[in-house]
Amino acid sequence: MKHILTVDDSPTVRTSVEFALKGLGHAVLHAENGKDALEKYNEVKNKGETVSLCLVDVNMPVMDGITFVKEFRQIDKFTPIVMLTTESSDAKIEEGRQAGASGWMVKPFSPEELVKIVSKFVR
Amino acid sequence: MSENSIRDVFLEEAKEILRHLEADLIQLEENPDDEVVHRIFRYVHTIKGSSGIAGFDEVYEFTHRLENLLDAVRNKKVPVEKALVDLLLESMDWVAEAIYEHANAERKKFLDEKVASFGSFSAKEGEAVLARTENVQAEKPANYFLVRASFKPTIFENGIDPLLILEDLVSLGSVEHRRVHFDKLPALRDMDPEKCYLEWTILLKTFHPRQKLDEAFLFVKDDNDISIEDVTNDFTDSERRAGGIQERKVGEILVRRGVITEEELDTVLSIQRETNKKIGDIIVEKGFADEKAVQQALGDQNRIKSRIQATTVRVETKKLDTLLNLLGEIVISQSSIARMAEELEEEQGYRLKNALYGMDRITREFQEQIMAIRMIPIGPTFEQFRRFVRDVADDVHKEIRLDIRGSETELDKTVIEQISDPLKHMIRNAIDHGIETPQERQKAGKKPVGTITLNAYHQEGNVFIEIIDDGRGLDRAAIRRKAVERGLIKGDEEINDRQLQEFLFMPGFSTAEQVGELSGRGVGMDVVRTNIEALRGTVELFSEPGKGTTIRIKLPLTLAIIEGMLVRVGKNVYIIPLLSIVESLQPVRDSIKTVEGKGEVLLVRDEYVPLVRLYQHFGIDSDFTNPWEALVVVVESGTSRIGIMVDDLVGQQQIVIKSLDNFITKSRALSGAAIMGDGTVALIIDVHGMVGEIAT
Repeated sequence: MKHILTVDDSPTVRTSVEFALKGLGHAVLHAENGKDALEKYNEVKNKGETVSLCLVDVNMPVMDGITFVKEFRQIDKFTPIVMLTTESSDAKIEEGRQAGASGWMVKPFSPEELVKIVSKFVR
Repeated sequence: MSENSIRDVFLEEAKEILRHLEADLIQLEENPDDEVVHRIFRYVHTIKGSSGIAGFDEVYEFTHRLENLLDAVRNKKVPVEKALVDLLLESMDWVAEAIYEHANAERKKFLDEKVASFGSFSAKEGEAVLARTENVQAEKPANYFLVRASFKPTIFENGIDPLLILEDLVSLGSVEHRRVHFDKLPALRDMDPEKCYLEWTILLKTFHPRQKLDEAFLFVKDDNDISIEDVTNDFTDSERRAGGIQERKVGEILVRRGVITEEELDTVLSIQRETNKKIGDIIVEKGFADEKAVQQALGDQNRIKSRIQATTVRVETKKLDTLLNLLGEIVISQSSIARMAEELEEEQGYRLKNALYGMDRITREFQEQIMAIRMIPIGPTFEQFRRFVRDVADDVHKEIRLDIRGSETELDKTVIEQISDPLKHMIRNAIDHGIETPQERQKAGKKPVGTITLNAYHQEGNVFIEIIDDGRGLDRAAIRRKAVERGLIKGDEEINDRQLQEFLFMPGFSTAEQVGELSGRGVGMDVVRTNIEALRGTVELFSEPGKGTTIRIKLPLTLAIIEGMLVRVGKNVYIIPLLSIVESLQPVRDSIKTVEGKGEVLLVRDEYVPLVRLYQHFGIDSDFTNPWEALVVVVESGTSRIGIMVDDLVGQQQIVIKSLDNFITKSRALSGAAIMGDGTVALIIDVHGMVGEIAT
């Protein structure tokens, strides 16, 4: 089983991500923040399954997106992470890239756009 | 390959495509699924590309616009409706005309405007932005971008797979040229599998603007070395001009694509002046580029050429005929050797005969193989009727679906060529007289849309073709009236099925008069039957009132070789096609009678068949003049039988038919000649013709 992890404190965003990615053949896993996401990731790994992609908000309670990326890269170098955020400043994007993010997508997004971006990272 | 042969190849290619296109356009109207739209788009696209190369500039230009329209259809911006299909069909007709006859400029202008009006329609419907990009495309056929992508070694650590990006890029258009730079690739033992070492240079041909390419590199262009260069101008000119494959250009193309440098080309050219070798060869010899790169440089021009060369060899049918004739000669020589074997001493003759059996097996297989080359599927012939059915049905205000089955059934090329007209006539009949109007159909409790089925299949060495309609069936009462009127039967006589068929196939017994609604078109079913009998086939007709009519054509698999029965009359040997023979018998004296007006008849199984004394018919000597001393071969043509009186049956043999020229005989009773093993010539009896001669 392959999973796409959507990390956002807004259930609306997570649900719309799940809706948009329906049909890509991946199960969409929800996480409310960075910490939750790391736990979910480990759960998947422990089951012997894979996470193909993380879609991560930047501003979240408990653990923000940038911190999540840094922590995540400690345990997984290669899984793509796309930031899904309202932040669009060059400085923030650069910060994300430095942390190890693979892509940056500005909210709001249309389902088509999301599918297009996601399919750049997973088949 | 000269310019002319490129043109020829294109003419062949276009013919095939146009045929498919027509079928698909009809299907589009019936069942507009994405697959069909896509196929149509691809066909038009192919014609566009090839026509440009073959020098049909107007076709190129026009199909280019058409392609844009189809792209809009594909993207669901223009709905599939009858008007669109009509326009596409008209456009296709124009293209065919422009390719095979001449480009009618006025007509093109008219269609151009119509195509454009469909385009603007889509803009009005919404999505103005997309329509605008289309217009941009209309002016600019294709863009060429030279993309150099050098990713940082640690790219994988960002969760980015360059391969996916390249695939994304490639999906935007077609890769004209591709070069992978291995320079940074270390030795295997030094390689870190988590690092990216490769760089790519890609020449992409695309209809998308540059912006789309940038998008593909969205997340990597800032911290990786990506360059996208628009090189469209280098290509479009030459692509338009390209009429043939020009040797001199290969070098230039290679320079343009960055495969070799300007200086390298100069070196190559100077060598070429001295040695007069091919540029491509010199480049490869010098190691400036590998052969593959040189081949790719030939690009579009080469593509058509190689595609056709790789998959098929086009051979003139005449050559196949010659091959078959030669094989015929081998068969003849073989039988003369067989005769010699008969005369030899026991042991030697036996051995020679054994060897001959082996050879016979091989020649038979050889013959089957040659025949297989001549066999082509009937599908395309059937498909061409889709348009016809649609147009004619429209004319007579009927709704008719054409159902095609057994497209893959193969027939001799000659047969296929000659079956088309009779088929057309019978389909026309089915539309005019068979299928009812939607109102009539509904009243009869049938679906308003009528169906005509074309079916083909092989059975016992024959090919059957059926034309089936689910219409009203034959009007027996009307046919009977007509037959009485013409004095063919008496007023109180009922007609049986066989007579019914006979009448329908009689000259002047017009089907139009039976139903009295449409005038005849000068060609009747009698002509259909004549045509089919000329192919040594037969026609049968079955009809059920209210349920429809089936016409079944039976054709031999091949026209060139038949199984024949050799019969002897006096010193002459004749051949009767085995397929026509019902039985052979020695009649008893009482079974022969003379009937007023019909001549001599023979009673065979409770049926009187006309007796033909072959020696009389051909005016030759024979051993016997009394039928009860001689033999009678009963043959069948259509539904008629005759008995042919001969002295003796010689044997059964495969016969290679040699046709007789008209000046040799006017007799319909002979269809050709064959050379026998001993070098003598035997005439082949045309059973259909002979039955015809007896009847008149």
